[in-house]
Amino acid sequence: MTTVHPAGDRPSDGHPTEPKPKRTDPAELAQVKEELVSHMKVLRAFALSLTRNSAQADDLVQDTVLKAWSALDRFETGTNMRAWLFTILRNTYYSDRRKAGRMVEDAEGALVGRLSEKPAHDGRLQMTDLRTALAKLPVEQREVLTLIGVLQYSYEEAADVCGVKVGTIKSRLARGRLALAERMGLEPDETLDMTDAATRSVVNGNGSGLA
Amino acid sequence: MPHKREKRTAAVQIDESLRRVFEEDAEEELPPRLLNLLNQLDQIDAPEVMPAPQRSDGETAQ
Repeated sequence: MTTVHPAGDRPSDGHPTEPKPKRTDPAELAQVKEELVSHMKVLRAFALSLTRNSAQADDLVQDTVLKAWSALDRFETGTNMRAWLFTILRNTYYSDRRKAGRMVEDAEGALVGRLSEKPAHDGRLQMTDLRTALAKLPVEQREVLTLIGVLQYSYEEAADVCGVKVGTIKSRLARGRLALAERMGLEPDETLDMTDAATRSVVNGNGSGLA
Repeated sequence: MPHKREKRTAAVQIDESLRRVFEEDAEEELPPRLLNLLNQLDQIDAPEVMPAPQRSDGETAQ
C-alpha cells in the first residue's frame, strides 16, 4: 500500500537562481533517478487530483519528469524531492492551462471510466460519489483539499505553494468541503469546521469574493 | 460539546475519504509510456538536445 506522507520540508519555487554544475557522477545520478522513480506513483496521484483525467495526468507527469531530469543541477540533494516535483508539476499544470486558455475544464472527464467499485468503509462517503463530486469542483478547490486534507500542508504552506493569501486558502478549503458535503447529501452544517469569521462570510456569500 | 465534535468529525471524515481516493490513485500501476520514459531517462541529457516524446494530445512535450 502506498503511504501518503506529509510533505515534510516544503518546496521552494523549484527554480533556484544559481544552478550548480550538472551532475556527472553515474552513482549519484543513479541514486537521484532511483529517488525520482520512487515518487512517480504519488506524483501521478497528485496529477490526477488536479486533472481528474488519466491521459492529462500522464502528460503532466511526463512533462514534469522531463523538466526535473533536465534540471537536476537545480535540485539540492538531501532536500525534499517530492515537494520539488510537486511544485514543478503544479507550475506546469497551470502554465499549460494558461497557454490553452482553458479555464473551464472537462469536469465530467475520464472519471467515469475510473470509478471505483470498492465499497465505502464508513458507509456514508461512497468513494464513487466522492470521485464524481471531486471532478465537479473547481481545480483550485481540489488542489487545496489535496494539499491540506491529504498531504497535511498547513494553511501557510498551502498559501505559499499556491501563491495566494491564507484567507483564500481557508475559503477554498471551506467551499470545497461544503460542496463535497452537499454533493454527498450531507448536512452542510455537519461538515464544515469554520475557523474564522472571514471564512464564514465567504461561504455565506457575503465575503470579499475570494476564489 | 457533542455538536462541535460532530462538525469536526464530518470534516475529518471528508479528509479521510479524500486520502483514500488519493491513496487508491497512488496504488495504480504506472502506464507503459511512463515506465518507458523512466527506462529511457539515462539517455536523456537535456530536452533541447533530445526529441521530446509525444504527448497523448499529439503535442510535443516541452
